[in-house]
Amino acid sequence: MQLNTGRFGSVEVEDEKILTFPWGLPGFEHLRRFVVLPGAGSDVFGWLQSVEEESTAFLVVDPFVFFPGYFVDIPERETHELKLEAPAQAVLLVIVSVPEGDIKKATVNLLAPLVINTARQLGRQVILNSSPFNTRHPLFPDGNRLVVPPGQGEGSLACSY
Amino acid sequence: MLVLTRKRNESVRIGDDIVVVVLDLKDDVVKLGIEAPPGQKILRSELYQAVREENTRAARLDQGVLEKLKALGEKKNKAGG
Repeated sequence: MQLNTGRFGSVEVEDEKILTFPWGLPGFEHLRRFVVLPGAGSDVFGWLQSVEEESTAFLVVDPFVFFPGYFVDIPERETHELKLEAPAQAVLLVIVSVPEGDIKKATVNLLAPLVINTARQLGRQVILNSSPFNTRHPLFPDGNRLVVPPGQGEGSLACSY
Repeated sequence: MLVLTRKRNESVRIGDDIVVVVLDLKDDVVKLGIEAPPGQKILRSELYQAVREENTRAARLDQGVLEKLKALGEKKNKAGG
């Protein structure tokens, strides 16, 4: 389908790439369908673009690239809701906030990652209950350098059943 | 909203399988114990509120950030990484 977006103009999206977030996102409960679009210039970033509201898109990033020690244990309820049969089916993305348009001040929400079941195109923002992480971790703690550690880190993703 | 008054060690049942017990009261702090089935989502409300606020903040992304990201990506590519 042809998707009109506020930020990227008109983009062609394959129907099977459309993700369903059956519960929306906190604050955006009315939006249930999204696509992940490739990031601008950098392959590290992506955009979670709403299919239903063209002006709404979230900058997202693979948390393990920036936070190699990040770990998530998806609670039993969410594992079932997302119909996850194995952790390998899940892709994790976190939402980036850029206050005042200053990329140096960018923070990521490690408390509530987006968990996507790639086998079923189902997604949910999971609020981690007993997690040492919060909603605003600086993405570039040493200023504006885009540091991508070689290889993927030791981060872990587990599901509870 | 249903309002109930409870003392220490008194409880409230919600549905068939959720029990909320008042364990302790001290100054203006109430310690609650919650018994619920393992799949039940129990969250401190301020966590949900924090995520909601952060999502709203993230969605107000300045269009100029797109260009800055592009520039960062190009810098990274030039550096051979």
